[in-house]
Amino acid sequence: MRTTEILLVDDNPADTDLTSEVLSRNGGLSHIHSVINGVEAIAFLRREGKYANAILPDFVILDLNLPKKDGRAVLAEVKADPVLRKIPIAVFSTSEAQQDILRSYELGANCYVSKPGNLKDFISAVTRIGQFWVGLAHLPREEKR
Amino acid sequence: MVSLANSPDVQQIDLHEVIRKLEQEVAGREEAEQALKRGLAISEAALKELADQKFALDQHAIVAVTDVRGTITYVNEKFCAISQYSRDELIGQNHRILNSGHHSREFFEQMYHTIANGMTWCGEIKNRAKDGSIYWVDATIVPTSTADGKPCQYVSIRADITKRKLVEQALAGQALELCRRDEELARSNVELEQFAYVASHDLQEPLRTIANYTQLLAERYHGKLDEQADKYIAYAVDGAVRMQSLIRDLLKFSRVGKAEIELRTTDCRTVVEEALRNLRAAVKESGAVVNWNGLPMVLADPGQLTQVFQNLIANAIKFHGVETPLIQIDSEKKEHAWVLTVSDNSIGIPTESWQDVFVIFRRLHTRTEYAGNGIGLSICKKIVEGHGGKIWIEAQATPGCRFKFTLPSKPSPQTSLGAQA
Repeated sequence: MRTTEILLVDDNPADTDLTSEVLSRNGGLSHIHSVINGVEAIAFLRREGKYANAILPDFVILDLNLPKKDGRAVLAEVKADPVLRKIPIAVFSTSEAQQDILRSYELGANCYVSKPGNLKDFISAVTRIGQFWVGLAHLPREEKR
Repeated sequence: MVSLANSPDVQQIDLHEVIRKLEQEVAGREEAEQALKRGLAISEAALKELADQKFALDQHAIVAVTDVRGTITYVNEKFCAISQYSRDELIGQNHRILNSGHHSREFFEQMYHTIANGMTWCGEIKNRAKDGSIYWVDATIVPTSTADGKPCQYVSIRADITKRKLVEQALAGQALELCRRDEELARSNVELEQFAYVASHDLQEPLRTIANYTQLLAERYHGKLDEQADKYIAYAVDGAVRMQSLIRDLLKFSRVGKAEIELRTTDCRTVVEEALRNLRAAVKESGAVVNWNGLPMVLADPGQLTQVFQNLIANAIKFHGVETPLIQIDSEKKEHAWVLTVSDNSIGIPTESWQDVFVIFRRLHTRTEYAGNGIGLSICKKIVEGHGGKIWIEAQATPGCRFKFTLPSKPSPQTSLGAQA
């Protein structure tokens, strides 16, 4: 079984570190890439500029409130792109606001998870995202049967 | 031709005939004279009636007559009085002497076009009196025509509507002011929403980072530093967690009433049952007994009213004394409102704190004694007041606490605005 390539889009390195660490506990199953804003996220996905050699991720974890280009714009752009739209995107944001949740799904998010406020729940949330999207769900590039 | 001299008989007959004819003629003349007199009397009566009507009209209306070029040929007393010009100053002048500059040229063009074509014009005109003051008239201008149908003069009859116009302007001003306040309110609501979002996201995010990493420190480095370091880390974790819960509660408080209150006929009994369902763990654990009798139907937002009962019952359970919590809910119908009472046998609240407890984050106990941020009663107060009611604490004979709150029995935006005469 080949590794699952995950792109983490988050401007908070503290969250990125913690999320990566928790996702990596699944052993060698996943390989995590991270970018810190929406512009870089799009560049990574389109393999432009310094990301010319980037590998197309199987799954994206996206924060909403990002500098330069925010998560909603990234979502809209990816879901409008015929090549990229198939990549599942999990929105992972501090916001619990109904308008953010609705908007994200309207833009084509594949799931919306709020970042829990305490460590235990945060670790549990990331673990379950990993278990579901990497362990259970079939991803578009996966060839296993 | 008949000759009188030639025929005396004929002469005789003719004389009789002449007398008869003369008599007839005299009678005819008398008749005509009578008719003339009658006609004169009728004319006199008609003239008097016309004069009477003119008098009445002059008492009521501002009357003026102008020629086809707009030159004033006649004005009545009222016209002089309202315009403050004497008759001499007005006769021979153009009507423009009264122009206030308020109306457009098109307005007057349209007026002259109408009357020049033999039609009556009606409308409201703002005029300027001699001293520069403004008066409004409701005018009717009637063209009178010569035999060949050409207008020869214009008779205008006006009524002073200055007072009405002032009232209208005042009303329009008030409407504008209301509009402005509405906009202000909408803007402040938007700001409040933005504040809520800032509080929920922008403040929570760095706080979450602090909480997560101090917790991570506590987990991974517990016992690896010294005892004091462990204590400091524990303080930091505690502070961050408490700050998170304060922000969450502040947000909860700001959201009460933000989503517009939806007044519905609500059964208090259903609402209390719902509150108890939400509190079933606490009720079961404490063995609390909640009694009520004959709870009324009120006009309220069911969700918000549930919150009020839930917070009051939860407090009664949380601050219970040595005995099993006992909660009694009663209602009483007053003239314009229902008064609801929630009494308990809890440790109670000292009289001097009866006002304080409704202030957000005001607590009467340390966190080690009782957990919580002190948000419950402030939310109750906000909800009750949002419904146009009041909430207060009342003394009771037995130990415990007695909360009372009112809910209007009928929706009355007038009373809530305090605009009742």
